Parts: sequence; structure tokens; C-alpha cells
Amino acid sequence: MSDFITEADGLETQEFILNLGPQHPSTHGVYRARLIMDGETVISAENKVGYLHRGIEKLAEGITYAQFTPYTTRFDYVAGALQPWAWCLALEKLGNIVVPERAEYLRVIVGELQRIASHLVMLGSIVLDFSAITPWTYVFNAREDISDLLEAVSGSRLLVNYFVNGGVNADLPEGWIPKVEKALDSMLKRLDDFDRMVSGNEIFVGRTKGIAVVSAEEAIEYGITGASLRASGLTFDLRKDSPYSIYDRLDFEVQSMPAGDSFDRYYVRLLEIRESAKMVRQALKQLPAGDIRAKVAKVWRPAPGEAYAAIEAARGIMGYQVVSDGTVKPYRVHMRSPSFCNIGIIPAKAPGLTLQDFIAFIASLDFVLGDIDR
Amino acid sequence: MELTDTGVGLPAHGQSEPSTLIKGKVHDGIESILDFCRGNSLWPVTFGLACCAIEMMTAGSARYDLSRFGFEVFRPSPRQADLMIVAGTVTDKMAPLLKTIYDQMPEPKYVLAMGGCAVCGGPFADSYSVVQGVDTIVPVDVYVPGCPPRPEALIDGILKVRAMLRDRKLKERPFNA
Amino acid sequence: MRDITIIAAAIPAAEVKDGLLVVPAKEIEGALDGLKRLGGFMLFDISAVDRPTGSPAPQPAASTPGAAPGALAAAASAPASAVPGAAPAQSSAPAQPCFELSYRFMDMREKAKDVLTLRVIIDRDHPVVPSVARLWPAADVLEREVWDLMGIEFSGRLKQERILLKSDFVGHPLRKDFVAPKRERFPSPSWDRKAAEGGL
Ligand code: SF4
Repeated sequence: MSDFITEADGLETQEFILNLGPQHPSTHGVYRARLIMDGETVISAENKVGYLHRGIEKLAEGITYAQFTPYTTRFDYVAGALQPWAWCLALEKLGNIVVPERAEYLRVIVGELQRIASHLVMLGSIVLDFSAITPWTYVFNAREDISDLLEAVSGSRLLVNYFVNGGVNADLPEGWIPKVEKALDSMLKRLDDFDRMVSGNEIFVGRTKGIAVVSAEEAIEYGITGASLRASGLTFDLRKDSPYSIYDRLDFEVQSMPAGDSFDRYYVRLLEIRESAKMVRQALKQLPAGDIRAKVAKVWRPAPGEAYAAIEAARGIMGYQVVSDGTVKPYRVHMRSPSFCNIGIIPAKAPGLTLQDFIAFIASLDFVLGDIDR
Repeated sequence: MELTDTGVGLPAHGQSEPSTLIKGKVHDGIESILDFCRGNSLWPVTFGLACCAIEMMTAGSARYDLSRFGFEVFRPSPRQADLMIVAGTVTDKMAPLLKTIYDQMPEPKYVLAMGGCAVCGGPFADSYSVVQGVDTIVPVDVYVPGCPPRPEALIDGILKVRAMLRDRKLKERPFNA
Repeated sequence: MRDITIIAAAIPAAEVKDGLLVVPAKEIEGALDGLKRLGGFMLFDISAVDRPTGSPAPQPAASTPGAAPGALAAAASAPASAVPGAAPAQSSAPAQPCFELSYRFMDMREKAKDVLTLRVIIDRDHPVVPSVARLWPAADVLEREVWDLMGIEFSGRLKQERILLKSDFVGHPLRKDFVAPKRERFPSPSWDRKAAEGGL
């Protein structure tokens, strides 16, 4: 281009600052990036977060353990059901509580359904950022069916408070299991439609393939976890590598993609949905009868001490550090949230991208602002 | 036909000085027709803040289909919108920006507070960084409680805005915040 | 995960306590350098706990610190039950006001994963530790968060500014002595209008 456009033409570009967000349709929440642009090319990017900082770690010090459980769903609100799992695991370690077998299965079933729903939102919103609205309605419809299932077990569509210290809240409602089978079938069919519609689409591929490549080493250096890490060719997944609950009894493959570009980060989630559907089916087959909750005192006072538990949430490692001082309230609660670390890579990878590729890049990282800011 | 002294046919709310030509009943009648039309095509500004925003998106998706009522035109720019759905927790850091976006919306404009957080601070009301309700910053027309409210509740809330417009209850704001 | 005692042996001044790797504050830089040199560790979390004087410091739970060698071996060879289960925190309650700073790592070399926690006790009146952002870029955001909410300073960083809170926020909210500024719920504009119109 520079061959025939000279400076004298007055078409030379200039550096300028572009504020992307916090109110912007394609930042998926109140994320803000301060970009220095040259024409359409990003020169440098800076993360500005905290617009949703709700001060939850402090609030936790003023309420009881049981009262805090529903708060945990309010962070990664796209995958609400999975969040309390880490919290409950930490509490169960703190109090040496053994969760009944049936409850573990129910946790896996609900957790994996929630993971599917969360990944569906990601797939829908990345194509929405390309202004493709039709695929979005496909996946949101599929997600609706799963929301209905989650609502049937927990009473809430979005922020599923199903996990409690020592087990789960309620047993399955009648006739739920056949509904799951049906919903999974129709979801997978819709997903195949979506896959055919989007994954080969030339515009989509052109704007994601080879864009913002994160190598495996870089991903480890930057502390990226979850599907975004598995898109860089690693098969790191706590469900497999440090199995909690009953994941060691399920037969599943950790999905990964080799290239580490935006496309792979998108596609690995699509693959994970299929894998999660398999896991739900297996768990439903193996589901034993029995109790759904261990005996936990109403006014629960764990012994003084400290526990840390980590799970593979929808976006990566979700960890809780709980420090108890022997009273009914936690002394200190610390959350390790996956999105917060995952966005650390943005300033490193943004330079050189065009603005629209930058949008695709941040969409492919699949962060949730509640999870970043807490 | 020249309707008002602004000359463009849309009498702005808050400017209660009708032209000498059209006063009293005629003016009122025209305004109520306009309000009737406005009520059928409220354009919300995309202003998702937290969890409630996901339910707002769901309300726009195929099952709940907000477009049945003509409210589905979510505008990314506040300058093209007339309804602000505050969906989520408003923090101290976000508050000045929210005010700016509100100020950028052209009159007439309406605000709907969706979810406990926007109504009063919700579960986070005691926090050191959360605003206790968006109505401490901007005037709110309709409150939709819930954590999160179901999409049906949101649709009902927007229909309430419409009903109020039809009943001409959202007449003038006593101040121009 | 590689055996914690082997890791501890490779790191200067580190000892294993209740399944945690404990380093004195003076040696933290060397310890983290050593861990980096071992290779394969992913830093994924930094957290801090405030322990001012007079706060209810945790009592040592069942296991007594006296039974050191046996307990150590047990802790070290414990299977991958992710992290120090309900590990009794510090065996002896810290008498000095302090912060407990924890760095958490995943061992990416081994297939079986576990959390390796490196714990350092730092002085509460002078909370400064060297930054590790040059070793693990992941530390960049994590350190900023710890500084923002807990007020522990990381020296040697390019930039130390608030990340989650407003830049003009005063204090560090996660400290135990932080008192949130009182909020007045001042009469809102919409109440005014309601009053003016006799309710909506
Ligand atoms: S009201 Fe509830 S669902 Fe809505 S933003 Fe607040 S916490 Fe989230």
C-alpha cells in the first residue's frame, strides 16, 4: 500500500488513544482496554478492570459459611453452578466432611451441564462479535433447554445454588433424567448445525486462524488455565490430573487443540461441550441411590485452620483459600479466579493486531467480568 | 405541519413551553400520540453490568423474543437509545461512567433498574465499593426486583414503561439530571 | 507433583511445614529464583492473610508440631489429595503482627497435579517483598491485586497502581483494621418526582 500512498497525500496515519469499554457491546461486560492505535492497528493495550469490583472477600468475613455459599455463584455468573463447588470442597476439607456418593454424582451432572451452558454462551458471543446473529440464537436456544434443567433441580435459571457444604441441596425432581437425555440430544444437534455454520465460515476463519497465537510456554508463564490453555496444545485439566469428586470413574478425554490461536480457543470449547455431554450421560448411568447430603451442623464451626481447594471451572482453575479461626464466620476467604489471570496475556499479544482481530482475541479468551473483578 | 417551535415535530420532554400556535389540548393530544408510538418502540442501550445482563440477553433471544413488543433494538450507543436498562451491580468506579452515559442519551429517556443490585445494592449493599442502588445516581422509572429477575420479569418491566407512557405518567422530570 | 521434600532441598532456606514450603522473609527472593530454576512450575495464585496483633490467631489443630520428622514424611508422601487438606495453618501462632503471603504453583512437569504452596511471613509494619513479575509474568496482575486490597508492596516493579479499586480510594480494604467509609443513601431524584406527582 505504501507504494502508492505517500505522506504527501495526507493519508498517513497517526497514533491515537482508543478507549474500548467499559460500556461496549463486544467487551462482554465492563472490561476496558486502553488501546494505543495507529490507524487500525493496535500498538499497545492495557487492561483496565475493576468496574465490577464488589468487595466480596471482605463481605465474606462478616457472614457465616452457609450464608456465603450463594454469593459464590455471583462471580462467574455465566457458569454459576460450578463456582460453589470449589468453595464447598474447601469447606469439606476444613471440616473433614465426607460427601455421600450420590451427591458427588449429582454435582458432576449439574456441574457438567453448567459447563455446557457456559461454553454455549462463549460460542454465541464470539460469533455475535462478528455481527453474526443467527448462530447466536441457535446456541442460546440450546442453552435455554439446559437452563430449564438446572432450574428444575435448583429453582434458579442462571445462578444455580445447588451445591452446599456437605453435598447438594435437593434430590432430582421426578422425570428429570429423560429430560436430560432429550435436552442433550437436541443440544448436540443444534451444536452440529452451529459447527457447520460457523467453523468453516470464511470470514470467521479469516479473522481467527493464526491470530494472537499463544504458545504453550507462554500460556504457562502467564498462568493461563482452562480451555484457553488447552487450546495451546496442553492437556492440563484438573478433572483428569488431580481428580476430585468422582471424575476418576468417568471415561473422558481431555480435549486440546495444537495451534493456540483464536480459532483453536473457540474450537476447543466446542469439543469440550461434546465431551461434557458424554460425561453427563455416563454419570447418569452410574448414579447410585443414597443420601444427598452429609450431616453438617446448622451452626457450623470448623476447627481453626486453613484449607485450599481448586477445581476446573468453566474458565480454568477456580481456587478458594479459606482460613478459619474457629468461629461461625470465616477469618479470611481468598478466591483465585481464572479470568483474572487469563487476561494478563492481552497486553502481550495485542500489539500488531487490527482492532477487529483484537475483538475476536478477547472474545476467544472467554472471560467474565464478575470473575475478574470479584 | 409545524408542530412545535423546535420545528422538527418532536416536542422534547422537559421543555414544557409549547409554541404559541399549539397549546393546551392540541399539544397534549399530539404528545400522547407520540408517547404511544414511543412506547411501542423503546430502544434500550446495551448496558450489561453483571449477572443480570445475561438474563437481559436471554430476554432478547429466541425463546423470550423481546422483539414481539418492538424493544429488541439494543443500541450500543447511548445517543441512539431512549431506555437505559441498568442490569447489574453499580460500583463506585462505574458510577461516574453510568452518569455520563445517561447524560449522553437524548431526551425523552427512561431508566429501568433491573435486579436487586441496581435497585438497592442487592446482596452487595454492605460492600465498600458498591453503590446502594442506581437511583442515587440517575432517576429511575421502573424497578424490577429479583436476583436475577427472570426474562419475563424484565419484559414486564419494559411493558410497565410502555404503560406509563400511554397513561402519560412519565410527563416531565422535575429536574434535568 | 514432584516430592515436596526434594523441592525443599533444592531451594535455599526452605523448610516443609504442614505440607507448605515455608521461607523466611529475607530469603524469599532466592527461594523464588530457585523454584524458577527448577523449572516447570506455573504460578497461578498469590494471596495474603492479615494477622494483626490481638486477632484470633489459629490454634494448632490435632497434629502437634513436636512430632516433626514423622509428620513431615507423612505430609510429604500424602497422595494427591490436592493441597494440604485441612492443614493446621501455622503450627505456632505468630506473636508479631504480620501478613502471611502465599504463592501457589502447579507442577506442569508431572502428570499428577497438586498445589505447591510457598508461604512467607512478612512484617506488618513494613510489608515489602521483591516482585516476581520478571520470573513469572502471571505475577503482574496478581501482585497488583494483593497490593490494591492488602497493601503489600512488591518492590522492583515498573508500575504499582490500583487495579480493582478507584485510583483515589483510601486504604486497603482487606486489612482487618480497614473501616469502610460510611455511606449516606441520599434522597434520590426519583423519590422527588414520585413525591411531586403523588406516586407513580
Ligand atoms: S441482582 Fe443478583 S443477579 Fe443481578 S447483578 Fe446483582 S447479584 Fe447479579
